[in-house]
Amino acid sequence: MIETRTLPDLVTRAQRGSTEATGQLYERHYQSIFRYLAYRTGDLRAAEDLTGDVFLKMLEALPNFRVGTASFRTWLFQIARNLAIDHYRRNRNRPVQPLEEVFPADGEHPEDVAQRQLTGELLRQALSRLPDDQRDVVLMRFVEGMPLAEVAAALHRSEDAIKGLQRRALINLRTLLESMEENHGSNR
Amino acid sequence: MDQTDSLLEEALRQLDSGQPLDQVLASLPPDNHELASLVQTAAAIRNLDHPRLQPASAHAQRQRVLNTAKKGQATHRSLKWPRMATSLGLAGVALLALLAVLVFRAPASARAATLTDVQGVVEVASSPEAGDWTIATEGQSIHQGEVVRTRPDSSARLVYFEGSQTLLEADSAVLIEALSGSWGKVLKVQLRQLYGQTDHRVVPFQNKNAFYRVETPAGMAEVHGTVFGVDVDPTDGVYYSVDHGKVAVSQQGATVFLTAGQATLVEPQSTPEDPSYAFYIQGPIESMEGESWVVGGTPVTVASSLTTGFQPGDWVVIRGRILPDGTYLADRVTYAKNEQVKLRFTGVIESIGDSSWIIGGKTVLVNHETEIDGDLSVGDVVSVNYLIQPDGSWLAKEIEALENEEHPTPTPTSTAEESPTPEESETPTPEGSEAPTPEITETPEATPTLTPEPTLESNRAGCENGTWQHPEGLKLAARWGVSYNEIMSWFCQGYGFGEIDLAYELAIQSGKPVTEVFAMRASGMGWGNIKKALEAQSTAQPPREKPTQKPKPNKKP
Repeated sequence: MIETRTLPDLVTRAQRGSTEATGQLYERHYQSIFRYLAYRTGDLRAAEDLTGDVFLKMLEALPNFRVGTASFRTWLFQIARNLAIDHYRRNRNRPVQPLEEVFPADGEHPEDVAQRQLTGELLRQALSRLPDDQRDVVLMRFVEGMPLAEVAAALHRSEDAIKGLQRRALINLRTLLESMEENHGSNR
Repeated sequence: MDQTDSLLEEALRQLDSGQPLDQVLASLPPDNHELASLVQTAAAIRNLDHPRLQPASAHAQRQRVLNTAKKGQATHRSLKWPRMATSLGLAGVALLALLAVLVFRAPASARAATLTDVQGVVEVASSPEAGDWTIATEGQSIHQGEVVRTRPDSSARLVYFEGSQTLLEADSAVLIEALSGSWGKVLKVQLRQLYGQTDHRVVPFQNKNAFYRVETPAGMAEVHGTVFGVDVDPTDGVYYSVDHGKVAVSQQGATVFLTAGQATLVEPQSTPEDPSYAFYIQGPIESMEGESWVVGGTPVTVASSLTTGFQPGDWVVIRGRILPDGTYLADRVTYAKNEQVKLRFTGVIESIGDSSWIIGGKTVLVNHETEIDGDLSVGDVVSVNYLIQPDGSWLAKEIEALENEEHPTPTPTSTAEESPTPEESETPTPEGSEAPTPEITETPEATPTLTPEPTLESNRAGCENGTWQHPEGLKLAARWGVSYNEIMSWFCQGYGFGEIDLAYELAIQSGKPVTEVFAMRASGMGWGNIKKALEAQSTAQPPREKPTQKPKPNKKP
């Protein structure tokens, strides 16, 4: 997602009360926020609820957002991250709805679906075993495709720190995924 | 490693720009197989089918958001009209209200707590959502609705008008949900502990309308003339412990009562565990075999969920409960702040002998050096400080009563005068914190002021030669993505970890090198003024996104 010059206009209009602009802001960002929260919480239902909460929080805090001084998407992800952290604190012991249910697509061969489910679920499991900061870097950098500078701003870190985090995260993920795929293969 | 980070980032940018993976891989150094595999892992993640919100759900959600937006606008418009019409009528009411307030109001000091014993970096915000954190100062008044938080190696004390106190340990945050009082030293306090550890000393109430409550994510503690601790850990529940008095702990409709020396653990969504007597162990981990540890000579059962990162030789603090079968069950494990062995447990005296006593089923030896507090007898609840002898027996160094005869002495407070309005500054939304570390409340001294123990910070531990690494230094290095040596270079120059944490945060927010932030501090500026100055500079011009410069650490042989 590349932030264009029209995005600040949308934000400014939304701040002035334009529901049409608010709707467009939702349309532009809801899938990114949902993806992030789905991996972050490992729970589809929670991710859906929290996505709505992110945009409600956005409405509350929009008057205080200063257009031009910070990336809107960065700011939105900060809200999402805070809500994910609060959610984790409140609901650690509750059963979660796994991510597999997302994957079935019309006309797709079941084996391909199963393979994709396995890989996506493996990724979720592997992500859940990373430290919070590494997980956030993976989600923002590789799932959302955010540039380094934006990730650094969202996580209140330097760019050098993010570079180090992404390397360590990839090393850990690679190790975890290889181990999980071996275990899954041996269980077939 | 820095070169690998840069090469990796360059490869990722090429993928971002749409370059095919095989071309990106071909551009990497041929002998760097590690780098190639990391790039492949990143590419594989990008190419996955990721979760999607179904269109119907998205549409319904969008409508809800827009409806909320419309309601917000309607409320704003409707508020304008009644103001003129009611202002005249309100004037007369206001005069009567003023008279009533002058006659019936509580003492001004009851509506504020005074912040004292500020150590390190302590901050205050006007509300949990506002994010307007400002540096707190000694003597500052804290009011209902405000949030107080402490940074690493920092602490502060809230003192209420009648002498009760709340101590915030490092990395803790408390919201003052309710704070008022009335004539006759009737205190009404309700706190919400967001995370971390607090200790409370509550003066016995003289009036049934007084209350002192601590809400947590798992339960609420309500007290009546007590010294107790509350330790909130989002992953491991809330740990309540009582030194004096009685505390009712409630959750899910169930209530347990803790008396002196007892503790309970409350998991989220669960009822409180039965009260148990408790232990506190500070010492080196001598062995770890599964869940069976020996720390400072004492066998302790430690659940696997608490063991992450610890290894034999680490100095730790373990707090927990003594089960009916005598098992010492750990509820909290943290790194110790100093290398002093401290062993303590509580229990009921079962028998008293010339050379040994049985307390809570445990035989402890006594000798002429054992300090015995007062005239103890069988059935008394006591706290025992002990040491492990070479033959494994326990020798009591001190046995003291924990019954309710001792109550915290009300601390005479000066009138809570209004301090200068804290400077308001805009800060990013506060992040959720990491899981706080828990601690048991130690039995307080008779006088309100506790003699501070030598800590790792005051001894500048980690600045001398050796392989030992300061746990706070490691934590901050990981948090800010810099080397341990860089963090410790500031620490060894005399800065506290709370200050270091704040300095790096300000550097990131302002885009200034962290060396510049410390230079401002070294020039004599207070942290509040440093924050204002950096914000003023950043609003004057857009912040430059520039990596912070790493200072040259002081190389010590």
